[in-house]
Amino acid sequence: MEAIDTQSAGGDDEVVAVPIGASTGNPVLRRRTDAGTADPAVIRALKQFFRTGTIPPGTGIAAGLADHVPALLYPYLSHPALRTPWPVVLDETDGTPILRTLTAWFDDLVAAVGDSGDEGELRRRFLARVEEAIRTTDLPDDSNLEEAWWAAVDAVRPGIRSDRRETFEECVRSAASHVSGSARLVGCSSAAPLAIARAHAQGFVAEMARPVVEEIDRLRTSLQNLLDVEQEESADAVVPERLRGSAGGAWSDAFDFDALSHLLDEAPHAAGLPPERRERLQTRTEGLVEHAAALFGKASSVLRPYSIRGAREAVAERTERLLALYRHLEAARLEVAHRYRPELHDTYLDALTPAMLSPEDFRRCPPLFVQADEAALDAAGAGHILELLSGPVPVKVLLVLRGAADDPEEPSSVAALTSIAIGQGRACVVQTALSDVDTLSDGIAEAVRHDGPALVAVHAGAEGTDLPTYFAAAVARDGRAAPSLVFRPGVGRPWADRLSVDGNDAAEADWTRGSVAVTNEDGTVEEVSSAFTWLDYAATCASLSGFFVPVEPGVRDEAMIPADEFLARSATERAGTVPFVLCASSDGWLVQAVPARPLVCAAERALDRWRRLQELAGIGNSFAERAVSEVRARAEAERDEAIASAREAHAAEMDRSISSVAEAIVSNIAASLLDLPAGAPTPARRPAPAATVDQDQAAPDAPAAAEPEPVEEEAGEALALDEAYIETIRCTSCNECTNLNKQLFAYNDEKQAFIKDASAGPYRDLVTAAEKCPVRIIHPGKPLNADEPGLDDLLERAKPFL
Amino acid sequence: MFGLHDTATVDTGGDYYSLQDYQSAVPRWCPGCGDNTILSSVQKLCRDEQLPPEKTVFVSGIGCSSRFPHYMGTYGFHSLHGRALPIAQGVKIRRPDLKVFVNTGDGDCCSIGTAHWIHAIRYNFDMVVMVHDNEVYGMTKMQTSPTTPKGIKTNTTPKGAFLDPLNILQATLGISNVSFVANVVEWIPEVMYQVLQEAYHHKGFSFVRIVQRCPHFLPSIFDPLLQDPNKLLLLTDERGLKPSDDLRKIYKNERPHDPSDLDAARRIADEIDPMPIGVLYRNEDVPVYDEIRRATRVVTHDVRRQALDREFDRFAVDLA
Ligand SMILES: Cc1ncc(C[n+]2csc(CCOP(=O)(O)OP(=O)(O)O)c2C)c(N)n1
Ligand code: SF4
Ligand code: SF4
Repeated sequence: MEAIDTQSAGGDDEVVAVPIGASTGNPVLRRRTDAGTADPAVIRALKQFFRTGTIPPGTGIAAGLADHVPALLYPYLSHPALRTPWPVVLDETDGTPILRTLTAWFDDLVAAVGDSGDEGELRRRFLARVEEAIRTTDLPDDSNLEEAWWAAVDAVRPGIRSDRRETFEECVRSAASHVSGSARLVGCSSAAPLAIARAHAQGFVAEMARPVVEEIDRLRTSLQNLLDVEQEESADAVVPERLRGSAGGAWSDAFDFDALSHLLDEAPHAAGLPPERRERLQTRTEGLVEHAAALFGKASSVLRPYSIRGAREAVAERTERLLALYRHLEAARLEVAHRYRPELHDTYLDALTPAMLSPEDFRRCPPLFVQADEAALDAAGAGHILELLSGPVPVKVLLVLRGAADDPEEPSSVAALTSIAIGQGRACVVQTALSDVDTLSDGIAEAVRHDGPALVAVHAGAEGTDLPTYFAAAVARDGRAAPSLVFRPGVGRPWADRLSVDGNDAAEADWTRGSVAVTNEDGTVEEVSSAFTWLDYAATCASLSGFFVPVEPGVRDEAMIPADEFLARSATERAGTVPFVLCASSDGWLVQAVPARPLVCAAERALDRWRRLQELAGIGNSFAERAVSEVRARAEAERDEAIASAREAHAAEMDRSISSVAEAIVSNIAASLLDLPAGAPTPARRPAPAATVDQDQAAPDAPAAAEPEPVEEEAGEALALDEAYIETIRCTSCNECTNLNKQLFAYNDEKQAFIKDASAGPYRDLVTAAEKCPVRIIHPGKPLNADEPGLDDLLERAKPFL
Repeated sequence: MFGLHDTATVDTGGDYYSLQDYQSAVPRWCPGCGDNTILSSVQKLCRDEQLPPEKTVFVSGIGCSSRFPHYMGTYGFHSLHGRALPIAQGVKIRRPDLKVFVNTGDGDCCSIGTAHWIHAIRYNFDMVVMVHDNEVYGMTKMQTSPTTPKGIKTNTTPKGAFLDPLNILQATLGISNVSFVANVVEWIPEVMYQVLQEAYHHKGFSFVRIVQRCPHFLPSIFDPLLQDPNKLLLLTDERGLKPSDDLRKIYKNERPHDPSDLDAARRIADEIDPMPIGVLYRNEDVPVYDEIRRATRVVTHDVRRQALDREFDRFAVDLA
């Protein structure tokens, strides 16, 4: 199974995307700026609501969000053809399933059938329209890619300009060969995690079963051979009928089989297998076949998901099977080696219990899937899950959640479950939201392949929200209600190696941040930046709507503070203030929504959980930070020391230079006073270094400098000059050459000439074109045909253009 | 945010215009004529800017160069000798939504069309004006034009032209409200393309003088320029010419020039050898006539007729 590919291989050929909000015609978020200072009664009411969850009558405000969405989300919601990672393309054609986002799939398609110039641009746009059509069609959660492709092509076709139809059909034809008939489109729904898990598991089960099945086959053959040998050497093997049968059809009358039988019967026979052993061998053979088939047989039955309760039985059953298979394997191995002693081994094998199986033995057990949702997560359900996760059987628990993290009164049981599972340290734990395809797919792949049990908790968007599933899930991740995490037990020593939260935006910060364009009443546009907190997520949950009061657009008061700032304050700093989150009303106004206190408490718990995860994952790790500051202090001290010693060395060096210059000056002055040639040695001067003297003396005898090697580049260039070429970027498109010979000279997409086929005309054409070319950029190279008439003259004419 | 990049919608890009969409009749210029080069650069510009052909107009006067609109797959107006500019202004003031280009010759613009040329600079309409300067009247078979160099023999000056040529860059730079002046040679496609692109993006009257070969009548007049790269000087700037490294290898003469400096531009316009190439002057702050005088009323034929009717009705005699 390949990891999911969200990056296309297409490089520059990607289906170009346009920025959200940039002249795409989405409704603009507006802000009322003239509301002036807020009515003190309203502010008082808000404070009361924050503290008590009730509003005094007559203030004109009411609790409950109606169709409000977080402001940061607003610009995304009006795009029908957003390039979200969903649907994903799941292709299981060649056994190893390949999972790609539709975005990556289309980008690769464009790269595969793309072209340069106008043709390429046309193709890109055709394919973008097909992609748009697929994205805007209401497809079932699991559909066939090829069918969706052709339906989209049919939908796009009528809108294609008639003079482009042919190019369109041609593009569709060449693209169609990349559309696999068996690939599926899996949509963003709560069924997706299981579909992805099964795809990953299918390949994995086949892969893990291979060595076991091979060993079983080997053992079965050996056991069978033992039985056969015994048969061949027994008295039964020489009855006339058997002898005739083994001689074969054409020879069935060629011998006297009665006589032959008589003769052979005279010879001594082997003792034969004792009947108990033969029975044992048969039992082992059958046992191996039966249990291997049950464990690794039809993948679909292996991959059937269980409920939590069903899983406990299944685990027991599977453990039994594994044990049985283990017994048969052990016994068969001994039998084949003729070392099986019933008196010894029977008791040993009978006494085996699951507890005696090693983790190595459990590695032979194919994964067992359990799927559950919140409904199953009562205390008993959670207990069962933890029990499954701490056992040796590779149970893969898939939780698809729709908002268990929402209840402000009660700490989230799912969060507790993942924390406990991480704490237990045995199971691989993956938590993410449905929107995060990367973590989902990679995490599920890891969970499936992990030796032991695994827990995958996927937030599929809070129940009852009007948001599209993708965004309902995305806000859960980005609001830190369901941060993406992958815990790999046993990897590395520090926890940071085992736990990764890299799948989250702004993983190093408390909250993610974003901005949204807002139009003021005077028409000016401003980017409003805001954090996206757990409270913003809560504002998307239908069940929590009553915990918010939306405030008239434009109402402003110092007492109202953005939620992230409020959460960062201490209790004293919070006094007299209320937090708010930015929302957009359904008619496009920027609104502040004030939450009631229980929600703030829930947000604090979410933040606390998130910070714990960060610390475990090595972000803002207090130990590491202490260590870093110690190292920094040490490094700074060392640096200061190094600087000081460098300064000293420099000063010494300067000192040396100054004295040697001074010496030279003195020697020159001395020379002029003594009337010697300047620079001549004076008594004060040290003798010249020996090396210099040697070199001077050696110079006359030294062999003459070798001729420089011919530079290789020149040889390369000389080769290139043999071929005719045009400096295409300088071509003025004057038609001179193309009019002369259209097979030889042609224009590229940019209508600039190049040599299309140097053999498509005589050398004469190349030379004539070179002469005619107004900018002298045609280089005729060497003639291809040495027998062309008048070549000498032509070569002469070609000279100025080589 | 939300697992999406801020560029996360499918860009179907609407309709796409290929080079072919801007091609029309097969050009009837002489082989090797520089007008061909200008044509392909302009077609590329339209393609790269994705100008809807139905929103684009090429206006010309009379001359070889003025056949240009015939070869463009856009709207066009092959008008009267010397009158391309007033017609283009008319188009622009009534239809400010159209992209207006003018193709004119040295004779068409700077001889018979001089009055219009001078005033068009001052009016500063938003349009691109290309003067195909072949230094001769081509269409009427080789007469002296205002830009013919002194001494060149033509049918009207068989003993050679008597006067120094008109420096049309200098003349243009001398007019009030000048806002964009550039000089290019048509045989370096990269330079011409870049400068035309800058001209297109400049809001105002973008005057581009294009030195153009007329191999039919003056086959060797530009030979020195063509054969010796040192006879050209590339004026480089972020808002003007940005030669590629490949081009720099050939044309080594270059000088940074700030196109907002009018005095420097005028000094450069005086330089003859090497010939300065690039954007000489650019000023976005000059008011654009079609903007400051944008029509505020709808005056269709119908409106006009109704107005007249109403006026006449005041004097009507009721015969009933
Ligand atoms: C009113 C008027 N006067 C004279 C002419 C004749 N005439 C046609 S084209 C031309 C000169 C064109 O020269 P130029 O503008 O340099 O264009 P080229 O042909 O060189 O591209 C003249 C004088 C005419 N067509 N109309
Ligand atoms: S002759 Fe030279 S300039 Fe003209 S089209 Fe051919 S290569 Fe280009
Ligand atoms: S006469 Fe000169 S300008 Fe006219 S088409 Fe021929 S080459 Fe071009």
